[in-house]
Amino acid sequence: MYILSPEQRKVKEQVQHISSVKAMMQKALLEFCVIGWLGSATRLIRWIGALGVIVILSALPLAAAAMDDENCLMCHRYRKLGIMGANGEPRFFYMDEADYAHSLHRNTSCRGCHTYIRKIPHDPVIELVDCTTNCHIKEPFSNREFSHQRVADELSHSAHRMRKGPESVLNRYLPDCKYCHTNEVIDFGRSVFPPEMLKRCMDCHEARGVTTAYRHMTQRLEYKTTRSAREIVALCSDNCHDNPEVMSHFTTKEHVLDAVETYKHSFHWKAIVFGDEHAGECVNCHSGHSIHDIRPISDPLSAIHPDNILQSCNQIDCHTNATYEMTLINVHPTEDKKRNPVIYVLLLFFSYLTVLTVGGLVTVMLMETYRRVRDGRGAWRVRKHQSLWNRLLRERAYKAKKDE
Amino acid sequence: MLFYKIRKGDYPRYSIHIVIQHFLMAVCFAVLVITGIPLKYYDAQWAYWLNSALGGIVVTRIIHRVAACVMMFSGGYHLMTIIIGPMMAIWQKKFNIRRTMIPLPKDFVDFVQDIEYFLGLRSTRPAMEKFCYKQKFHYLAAFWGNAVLIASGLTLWFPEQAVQVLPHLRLTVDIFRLLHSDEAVLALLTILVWHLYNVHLAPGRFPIQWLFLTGRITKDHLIEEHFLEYQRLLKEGAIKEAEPTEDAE
Repeated sequence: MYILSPEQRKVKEQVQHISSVKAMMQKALLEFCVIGWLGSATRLIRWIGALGVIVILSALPLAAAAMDDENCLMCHRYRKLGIMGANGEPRFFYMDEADYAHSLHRNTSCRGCHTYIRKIPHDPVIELVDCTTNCHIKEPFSNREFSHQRVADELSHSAHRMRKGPESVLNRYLPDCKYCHTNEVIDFGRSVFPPEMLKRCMDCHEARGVTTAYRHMTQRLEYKTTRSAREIVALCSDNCHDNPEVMSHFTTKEHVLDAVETYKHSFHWKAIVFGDEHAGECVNCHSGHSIHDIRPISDPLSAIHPDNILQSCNQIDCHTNATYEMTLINVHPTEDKKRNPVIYVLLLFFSYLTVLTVGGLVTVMLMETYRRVRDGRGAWRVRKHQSLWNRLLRERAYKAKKDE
Repeated sequence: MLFYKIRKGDYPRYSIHIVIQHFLMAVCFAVLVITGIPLKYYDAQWAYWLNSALGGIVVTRIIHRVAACVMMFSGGYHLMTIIIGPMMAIWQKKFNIRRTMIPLPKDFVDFVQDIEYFLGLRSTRPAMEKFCYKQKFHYLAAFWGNAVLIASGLTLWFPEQAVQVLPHLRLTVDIFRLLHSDEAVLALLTILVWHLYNVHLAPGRFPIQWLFLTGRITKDHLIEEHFLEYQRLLKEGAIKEAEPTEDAE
């Protein structure tokens, strides 16, 4: 059965929060219009406005029906359906119909993925969902059942592949499909579709016959992900690349171990922090034509391999004028003593310079103040008639006099 | 009815060009700091708020660059002023190195003597030239800071073009990235501590000197900090020894 990890639960709560906020806003709008109609002189306009809002609101579906031919929701619609797990953790089996109806998998029935369920009510589930299963959705052009097998193949060449043999002890530190894909609500918002982006569709779908039909799909056509840049960086760094305990199982190289920290010194990250969605996040540079195609730098097909890095800099919306020299710039700038001694010394020099300069100036300032006050060069008094406050008082007095 | 009149100053000191340059610099510096400093302290909550209040980086980036362009314009304007002005002075055979911003050994002596005065070891301040040691220090710091900030800022603004000019890319761009923020913070602290004190907070100068708008200096100020210049102007007949003008009412 599908168990929510803490991160996924957080995302789910956010989604629920968003839908409740949406409902609240609709209600508030409605109330505003009705009250406005009752209380105002411009009744006709309000009345038309209220009608319009009601028409629009009724067109917005608050909760849509999910694909549930086999009536799994008969039981799974109950919020507290669950058991106490072996380690004392509550495990909930509740399925939010509205959430599911807005998810990417809304057209897939439950047993499309949970294929091991053969009877209802079913036995306690111990099997895991395999994302490479052929589900019962058919691709419109090839008329074959859809599967994520292509993505899995791609992943099996990437840096995140599941290890085999003696290395398989590392597998528990590696992300599975669900670690990254928490299956959020689709956002149809931004949609500009450069034609070459269509090739991303081919990662999942049959190449044959795929044309503009897929253009309606998602903003994935424009961006490599549906998530914001901040979320991507958080996804890669939290628990994994930011965690030396996990990363030390894979590498001893320092520049890999503190890659997140050094990245956060770069202008890419600073732009993201302050709300630029177009600045480079992790997968912008590290993944090739597909988001799963993340390979180590030693792999000649890697997006950050010295032969390919210019293409990565040259992406649409990035440094389109980039030349080879551009690739020499350090995008993970470090201030480490051993790896970048010049910067370390410079930083040290500047911190001393700043402290000494400001300290020296303050000292001179204090001495000057002491002597000037002692010498009677004037305390901090406003010169005659010079303050705005005095002027105001005088003008007011003058006005009062004039009125008399 | 105007009850209030600023103290315009008695003797001319700065030309209209310098006044305009100072004004542009001051405004641009404030804008550049406000839009730039959140990026230096990107971890802090206030930085996020400040940046969001100005419209996020997509907006502040443009504001920062426009202000930088105005700053560069005023820098170029100033360069022209300090090249053409002395050239004309040389042409007219009136050039005097003591009346320029060029640091001279006397400035160090002045500095030491001024410190002695502050500590009570001397009874008077030293007789100083048109630009005293404080002003030379501040001016040269600003000059250097401007050069560094413009160079590094242009590199960060146009990385694609800059990398074709710069040597030792991996290091140079790193250095410029560091210099841009560190030099800016240094400049900001110097302005906040030093400049603000000298023109606003020092006893006797409080609350403000209108020199920056009028270009004219008061008699007591000229005598106190630029006595040699005062004597020279009197000798040349450029100014007359007048009583300091009363604050007009």
